[in-house]
Amino acid sequence: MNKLKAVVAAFILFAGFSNAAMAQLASANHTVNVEVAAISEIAITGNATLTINSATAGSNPDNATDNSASYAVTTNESGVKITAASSANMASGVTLSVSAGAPAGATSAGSVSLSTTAADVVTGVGTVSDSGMTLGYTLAATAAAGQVAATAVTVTYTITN
Amino acid sequence: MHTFQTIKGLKRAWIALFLLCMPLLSFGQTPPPLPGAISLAGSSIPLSQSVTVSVQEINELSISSDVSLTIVSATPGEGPLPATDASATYNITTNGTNKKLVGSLDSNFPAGIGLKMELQAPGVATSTEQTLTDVAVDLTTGFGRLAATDLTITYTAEAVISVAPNGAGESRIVTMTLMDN
Repeated sequence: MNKLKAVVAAFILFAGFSNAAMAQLASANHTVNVEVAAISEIAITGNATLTINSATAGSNPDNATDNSASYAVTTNESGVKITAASSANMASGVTLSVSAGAPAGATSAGSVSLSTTAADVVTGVGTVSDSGMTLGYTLAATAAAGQVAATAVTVTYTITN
Repeated sequence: MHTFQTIKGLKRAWIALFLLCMPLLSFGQTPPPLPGAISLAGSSIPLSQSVTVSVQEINELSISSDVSLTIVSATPGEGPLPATDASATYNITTNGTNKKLVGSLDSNFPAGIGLKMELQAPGVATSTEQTLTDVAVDLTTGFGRLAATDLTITYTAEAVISVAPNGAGESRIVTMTLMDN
């Protein structure tokens, strides 16, 4: 009886293998390689306009602020930072600063004075895709600076290791 | 009486001469039998032969070349952009009916990396883009009795932002299998 069961089981097993073999009629293969390169991208939305036009008597002119611009960032690297530099230095007694909001996990340097030399505005950026971080500009001028004609400067943000 | 006998003798001579000439006349009209031929008297006999022809089910599949995809860019604020490659092709021949093509990987990609595959459908078949894993999925279904070449294989590689750069990349073997539907 046990022998009969063994024979039946072997037959069922063989039949299963046989069906499986018959189902696959032909096959072919090749190799597919997927590479993920280092990606770091940054984009800025909006321009800013700052005008100083008031003061408290006895003090330097009031600062002008603009928080309308923002930026987005994507990186799959770690230990990345964002720097900012202006296309021209401000006149003597005039200061243009920016405070960049930090994406998740990163650190903002707070208010940073802009010059033609790149300065860190956000550090510790890693594997993030985030948008809508504010770029808050502040323009300050001393009374001694006098009047300054409207001047456009280009501020360049760079995401770098 | 003598004249009658003479006439009778001439008759016999003519008949004898005719009988002697008969074989010579028939020899001139009928070709001699070929050596070894069997002489068949009266009628022809039909000869028949049985010829058995069979065409077995044939299923053949080949792929042209390996493929490399590189994810290199992103829209700021969003994940990396997919990379697409349509350089590989496949050839297929089947004389069976109701077939399908399935595809699978030898092993899964690391978490966060996805590889999609879409086949140009042969004939009236239906193709669907599928994400490949180590479990076979249907790529093209509902075809049969066709021979087609240079059908495009389109791959799309995706990665989420948490996937770090992976140097020279991750390679997997993609196997396409022709099966009964």
